[in-house]
Amino acid sequence: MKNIFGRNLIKRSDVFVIFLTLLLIFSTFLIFRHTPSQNPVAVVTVDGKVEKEIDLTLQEDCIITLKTDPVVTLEIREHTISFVDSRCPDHTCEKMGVLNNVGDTAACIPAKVIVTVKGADKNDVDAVVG
Amino acid sequence: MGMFCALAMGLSFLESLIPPIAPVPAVKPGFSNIVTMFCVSSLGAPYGLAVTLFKAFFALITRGSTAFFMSLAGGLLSLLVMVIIFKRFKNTFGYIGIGILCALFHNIGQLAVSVVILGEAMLTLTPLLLLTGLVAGIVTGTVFKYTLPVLSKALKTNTITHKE
Repeated sequence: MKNIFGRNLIKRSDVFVIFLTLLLIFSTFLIFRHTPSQNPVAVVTVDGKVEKEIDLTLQEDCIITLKTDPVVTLEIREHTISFVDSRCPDHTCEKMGVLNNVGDTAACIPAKVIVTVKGADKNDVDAVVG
Repeated sequence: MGMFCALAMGLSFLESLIPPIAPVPAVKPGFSNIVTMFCVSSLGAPYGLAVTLFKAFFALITRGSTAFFMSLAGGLLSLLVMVIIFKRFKNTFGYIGIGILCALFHNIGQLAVSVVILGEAMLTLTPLLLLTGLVAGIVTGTVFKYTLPVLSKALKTNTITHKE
């Protein structure tokens, strides 16, 4: 209980921490966010393995049911993909909304399902800069 | 000790009532981290460890095994950073700095586990988790500053009554 009361709310080093964090956020953002793509592809991963790759521009509206535990239902509508039903207690994935932009990610942790939207350009290498 | 566990549990529960701000399950303000911070700073690391383990156990029974591993990894990493700060860099950081570092490492721990369990696709969430860690850290750090005197006072009177 010693000198902790005398501590300031914010110190110079804290500003440094904030700055460094912002820098880290920005750089990871650049690394993981690919350039906008004309043909977004939804990659559905189950338990670390790629289950499906769906070209969102071509795919017609449909419902996909994944036989995971708990069962997860995805919906493709108007070139977007979203979790519509999960038989798990928290239903967080359903609140994640629709995904259509490259880099959008939603996950159902209990079922180990991740949906990521990736760009499918063949000139993907051009996007790797610095 | 039971009081702190109950406090952490209560805060976790209250937090779950707040609708998720961002579309990721891991994104919460992390108010229960305040309890851990208090335990480490005022009572010592073993108390912090007990609260962390209890929180993970609480996650296990309410949200399943994946939540357990995520809570445990995040909690332990955050705890480690906390202990290092309070032992080695006692006067280096202000409340906000401590809050941010603890929250950041909590999220990094969770992210690491989710990448192991769910796959590399989770890495795309890194910028978001860092950002939320930053915001959550500022919030918890500020709240910590103003709740610390109250908690310490409560603790003091409590120990005195127990001695009598």
